[in-house]
Order: sequence, then C-alpha cells, then structure tokens
Amino acid sequence: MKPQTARQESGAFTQNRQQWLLLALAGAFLATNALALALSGSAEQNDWSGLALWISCALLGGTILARFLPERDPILFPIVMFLSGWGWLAITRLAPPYANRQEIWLLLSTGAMLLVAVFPQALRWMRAYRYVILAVALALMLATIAFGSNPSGFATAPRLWLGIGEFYFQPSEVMKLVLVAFLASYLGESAAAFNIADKARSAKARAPRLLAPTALISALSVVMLIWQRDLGAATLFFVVFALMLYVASGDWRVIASGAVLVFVAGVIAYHFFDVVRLRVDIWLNPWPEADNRAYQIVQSLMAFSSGGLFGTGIGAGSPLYVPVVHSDFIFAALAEEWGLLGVIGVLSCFAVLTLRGLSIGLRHCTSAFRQLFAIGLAAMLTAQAIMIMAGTLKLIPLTGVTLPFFSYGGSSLLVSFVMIGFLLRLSSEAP
Amino acid sequence: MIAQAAIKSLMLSTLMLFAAVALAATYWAVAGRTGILLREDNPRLIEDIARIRRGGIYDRQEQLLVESVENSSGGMSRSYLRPSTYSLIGYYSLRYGSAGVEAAFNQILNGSQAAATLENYFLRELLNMPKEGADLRLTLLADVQDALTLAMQDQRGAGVVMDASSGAILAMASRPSYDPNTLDEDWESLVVDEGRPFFNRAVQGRYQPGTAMTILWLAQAIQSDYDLSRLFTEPAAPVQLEPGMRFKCLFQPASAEITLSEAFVVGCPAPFVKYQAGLARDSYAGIVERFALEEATTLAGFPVAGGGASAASGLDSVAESGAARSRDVLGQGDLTISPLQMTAIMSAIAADGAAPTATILSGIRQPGAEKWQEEGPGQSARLMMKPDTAAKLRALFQEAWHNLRGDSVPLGHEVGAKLAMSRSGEDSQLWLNGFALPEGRPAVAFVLVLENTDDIEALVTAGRYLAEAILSL
Repeated sequence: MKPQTARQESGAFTQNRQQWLLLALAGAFLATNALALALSGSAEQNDWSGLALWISCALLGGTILARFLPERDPILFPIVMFLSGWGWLAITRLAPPYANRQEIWLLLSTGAMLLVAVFPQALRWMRAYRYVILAVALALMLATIAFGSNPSGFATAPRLWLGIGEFYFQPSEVMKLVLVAFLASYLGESAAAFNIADKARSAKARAPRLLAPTALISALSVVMLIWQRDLGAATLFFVVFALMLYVASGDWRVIASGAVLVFVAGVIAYHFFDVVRLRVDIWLNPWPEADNRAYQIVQSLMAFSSGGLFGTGIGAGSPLYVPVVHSDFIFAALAEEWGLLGVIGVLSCFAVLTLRGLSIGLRHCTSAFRQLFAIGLAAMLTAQAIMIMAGTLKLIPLTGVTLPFFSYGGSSLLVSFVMIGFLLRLSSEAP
Repeated sequence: MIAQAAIKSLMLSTLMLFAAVALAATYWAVAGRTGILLREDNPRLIEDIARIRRGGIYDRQEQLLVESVENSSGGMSRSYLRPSTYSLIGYYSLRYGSAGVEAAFNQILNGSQAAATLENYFLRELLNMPKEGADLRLTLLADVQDALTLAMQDQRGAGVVMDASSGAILAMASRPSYDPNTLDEDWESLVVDEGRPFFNRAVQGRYQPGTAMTILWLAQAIQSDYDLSRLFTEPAAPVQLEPGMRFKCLFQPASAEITLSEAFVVGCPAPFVKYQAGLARDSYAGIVERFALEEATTLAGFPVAGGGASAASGLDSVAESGAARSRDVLGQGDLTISPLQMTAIMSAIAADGAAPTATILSGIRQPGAEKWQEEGPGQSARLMMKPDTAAKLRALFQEAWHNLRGDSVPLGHEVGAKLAMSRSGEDSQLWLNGFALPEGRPAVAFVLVLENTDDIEALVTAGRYLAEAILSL
C-alpha cells in the first residue's frame, strides 16, 4: 500500500465516520423493528441470531473496508447493508423458514463483496478473462435448460436454478455481472470507434462491425432467458445493454431504437407467449380478474393502499395476501407495513445508490472500461429495482425480477453484493 | 472517450423514474386509497372489521347483555349473555352480517360514528389501531325481558312491553328464536326453518288484528260521544264472516240485551258489527287515520314490516258489501298490524290518549368514558284519543281482565287487558293487549300475540305472569 498523505488521512477519517454513523443508524432501525416484530407476536422472532449476524457483517465489512479501501465511497456499503438488513427483517416477518437461509447468504455475500473490493486482481480478471468468464456463464445458463430445477418444486414453474442438494443457484444472476463486465470491457476498448463525438468517418463506419459481438452475446443471453421463460431477466439484460451502448456511443438513437425494439418484441411476445399476454392484460385492466388471474397485482395495490402514509407497523399488516410476497412482491409488503414513508425511504436509498454508482463512472474519465463497468453495474441494479417496483405498482407490466438486496434469493443477493464490491473497488481507485 | 453528457442524462432519467415510482406509490397510498380498500374483494377489509372491538350492550340497569371477546385467531367475537334477549339483540357475524339491535346501531357499536378528534385520527388512521365502538344502554329491563320470554315459553309469536309515557321498550321478544353464539354452526338449518327464527315478529310481523279491532271501534264510539247506554239485542249471536270463520263471545253475556261497553268486556263481536253498520261509510277511514294504522310503527334502525296490505285497500272493500264491512269491523279485512303498532295504541290508552314513539336506546358511552350520554325519547307522542276516552277505556280493560283471570289470583285492578282472536286461513292467532299501572311509576303497555293456537288459558296465564313481573319492578 502506498503511504497516505495528511489530506488523504483526513478524508479517510471523515469517510469512516460517515460509514459508521450510517451503519449505526441502520442498526438502530433494524433493532427497533426486530423488537417491534417480536412484540407483535405475528412471527416467530425469538431468534436474534439474524440481527447478531447482520451486526457482525456490518462490523467486519466496515472494518475491512476502512482498513483496505480508505478512499472508497463511504455511502455504498451502509446503504446495501441497510437494505439487506431490512430485507432480512421483512423475510423474517413474511416467510420465517427462509430467514435463516437469507442470513447465510448475507454472510457469504458480504464475504464475496469484500473479496472483490479488497483484491484488485478481481477487477483485472473480469477484463482479462472476459471470454472465459462469459463462456462459463453461458454454459451454466445452458445447463439450466438441461438440468434446471425450481426450489418451489412446482412442475410448471420456470427451471432457472441449478441445484445441488439443498443448495440452489441461479446462473442468470451471475450472467448479469458477467454481461456488464463483458460489455464494459468490449465497448471500452472499442469506444472510440463508434462514439458519436468522434467525427472520423472511418471510425463511424467500423461501428457496426465492432458492435456486432456485443449485440450477439446480449441477444444470445436474451434468447436463452426467453427459452427458459425468464422474461423479466431477458428484458433487464436488453435494457442494460441498450443503456451501456448509449453511454458508450452518446447517441440517443440507441435508446430510441431500443425502446422501439422492446415495444415490437412485446407485441410479438404478446401473441406468442401466454405469460406475456396475461401480464399485459392484467396490467391494462386487472379489476375484472381481481379474484383470479390478477389477484397478485390487485393484492399488491391493496397493500400499498392499506399501508397509507405511515404503514400498519411491522407484523400488524396483512401482506401475506400477496402471493410470493417475500420475493418479487416484497416492495408491496414494505409499503403495507412501513407505509409511504418506508417506500420513499427505500426509493431514496436506491436513488442514492444509483447516483453514487454513476458518479463513480463519471469520475473514471481516463479508463473507458472502469467507467462503463461502474455505469453498467449501477444501471443493472437500478433498472432491476425500478422494473420490479414499478411492476408492483402497476406502472409497467410485471417482470418477475427480485428487488436487489431486499427480496429473498441467495443468488440475487450474492451477485448484487459482488457488484457493490466492484463499485467500492472502483470508487477507491484514483481516476 | 465516453460521453459525459450521456452519463449525466442517465442520472437525470433514473431520478425521474424513481420519482414516477414515488408518485405512483403516493397515489395508491393516499389519493386512490379509499376506493381500493373499500372493494368487496379486499380481504383486509374483513380483517379490519374482525379487529374492531364492538361496544357492549347493556340493559337499562347496566346489566351486560353482549360483550366483545378476543378469539383464538386474534380477532374479536361477540358473546351473547342473556338468552331471553337473543331475538331482540339479533346477531353480528363476519360471515352473515347483522340483525336486530346489532344492525340497528351498527355504526355506533363499530366505532364508525366516533368523534373526529385528533386522538382518534392519530390512533386509527396513523397508527392503524383497531377501532373501538361505543357501548349501548338499551331501555330494556332484563328481568321483564326474562319474564316475557318465559311467559311465551316455546309458543310461536311475539311480545312487546313498552313504557306508555316515553315509548321506551322494556321488553320485546319474538319466537322462535336462535342462539347467536352458535350462529355459524346453525346457520344452514336456521335459514330453512319454517318458523323463520330470523324474522322479528314483534317489529316486522303483520297480523290481522281480528277482534282487537273492537278496541278501536269502542274508542271511536266513546270519542264521538256515542250513546253507550244503547242496548244491542242478540249479543251472543255468532258472526259468520265466511264458511269456517265464525266469531262468537268469549264469555256468555249476562242478559239478552247489552251495551257496546258490556259487549267489549265479555268479548261479543255481534254488537260491534251492528254498531258499525249504523255509521257513515267513511267511519273505517276515520279509524285508520286516528290510530295511524297505515303508518308503519317501527324502531329506529329496525327493518320496517313488509307484506301487510294497507288499510287503504280495506277502505275500498267497505263499499262492496255488508260482509266486507263485517270483516273490517272484526279485523279480518286487508288491514294488518304489527305487535309493536298495537303496543303503541295500548300505550295511548294507558297514558291519557297519546301514543309515544317507540324507542329502545337509552344511552351511549364512548370508549374509555365513564359517563353515559343520555338519549332522550324519540319524536313527540301522537294524540289518538282524549284523556277521558282513554280513562273510560282503561276501566273497561280492567274489567275485561278481571273477567279473564277469574278470582283465583287476586291481582287487584292495576292491570287491564283484553283478549282478541284473529284468523288467517286455517290458522288463528290470539292477542292479549293490555297495560299495567304500577304505583308511583309510569303506565306500562304490553301486547302478546301467539300464533296457531286457541289455548286462551295459556295466553291468560302468560299475561298474568308478565303483568306480575311488570308490577313487581
């Protein structure tokens, strides 16, 4: 490690103080709510090991980051710890049998985050071995087509997981990270070729040829997800691909073309996929089918209304009327028991997360890869959060993705934490 | 190089998207809240209702009749403590709704009419604490209610006891009844029960008044200064309204010629038919108007009696034939009245001619409060006859009751009652319309109607038991 200057030491001290203050606030919030949940008697919140584990993760993570990444963004880690702790608490209340698993995933995720944050090689490997990593990720996704399963056990449920015993993992979650890394790496190297700011005709002429591999890989991932009926993830991949391409090119027509493509694909999918037709129909008008096919979204909206401004309080609402509430619809449960205040709180956290992530990208003006990687990671987390939050509010059709850090799901939590690990690493590196 | 402007526009766009999500959440949490929460398919609505601690129901002497208790699922259930009050109190069920007092004062009992105070807003709207309803104190006297129910035994019919001056219901029963504590278990059999246990006969039941109409004709005769010394021949002659429907004297008259008053006391219908034949054709309309027979007498919040033909149709029949007139005189025409309506008329007789508005609510106590907020009598009383007319009628009622009860139980002259009979096809009903005049307290009117019976002795015994209970208060 390089010796720090007095100014750097002062900055690090301030950052650490911010971090610990925010973590302390998050801990106080969680402890208060855990106590309230225990007193409410609505869930078996007698096991305080989850809270103890969260505190351990926060202390361990905070200490290691303060020691090894003194120049990191001080806000990112407290925010994701806050969101994941809140999510754990919500899962404890909504689906107690899953709470212990989520605690284990939180421990693993924190460890993985610290690894990628502390060891600079991780970032380098993502760039250097992009084709190998991409091939492995695609192979894992292909494997789900052949050997995939669903932890729910329902025969008709999408088989998106690879399972070994009691351990399940969702390769499409890994693919999110891999795709962003691949796009950042490839587009970063080729940025000059198709950046709109570059007036050289020859460069613009080469753009389609350079663009083709990224489009191909992205399309391949999307097709595989559609094959597995994971349409939410497919949409997410396409959106992130379009966003990264837009940032790399600076050409707004990328976004416009992407929007047109999504619309056309949606129309086609509406006619060929029952699940898409169902989701669009109930998005347009759920009320006639409120007791049937639109039950989930109607109950979600009722949860928002039931929560009102301040919510019913943890354990005092009825979010369990929303099917799969601990996973895709955890935002609705949050709205019911913590009210609009809680919703605004979570939205603010995600907004800050997005701005910090994009700011990290903005700062890395000398490295296109680092810049695009930071932006891609932030865009992936943001797009995923907005898609599911807007879906539960009937702003857009339901997409069936998890709310990062918050929803139940080990793969999602692990990959989201690894993304934050990379963002922390990038934030600590001088531009 | 990467376009910095693109990153900044991406920042702005995502912020706008987050704002859109926040706006949508605000809409559903605030503006669009009421509409969606009040949807019938909102299961939370049922949960919220189940959590409401409905107010208790007490009798006038603050004996607890109904209370809310927490059930095993964390919600609240109603516990009905006094079997004699079941038919009046009704039921409250999440599955089947409410009836009786529970339905009539539902808004008070479930806290919907709670004052819009800052504390209530804070507790209910912000903290989502379950609502708490106000307690009700009824005008009912549980001991009289017990006596009324015991007097009726298992006989199908209805009974009402009313404070004649204030209209306060002291007791009200309808038989057959049901146990509201086991409503969910018994519902399927109750709804198909031929006895219609959910039908409150005291308020909703419409019976033909039968010979009880002679009370009204006699009142009209006294009121119009009719010569009550006029004698009618063949007083014991039976009146045949139609094949199989004969009305005759309850007691053999003492002589071959008797007055209208004497006919009333011994229960002979023939003199009344003759009396009415000598009246103008609109005399029946005059009775209908004087005693408000076309107006449904009910209790606030209780369902109005339905299905009874109006007296107006009876007016048409007056012009038709002598037989039709006889039917009207003896209450076998189209006119039907409820026991509650008859009790109001009896109250007018017992309390100097004015029929009070029936009321059953005596007080309301807000959650947490110690004092009751007193509820006064309802609308002003309706004058049905002059005080001296009422006094003369009371004397005749006392005499009639003396005839009925015999001398075996010397009850004194504080009670007056008149037995009447009506027929509905093959069935017959017995009425006992009377009053008691407890010393130093307001007069009390009572009406008993028993269906499908001609057991006069049983009705008189019931009346005596009830009168004793009223006088012993």
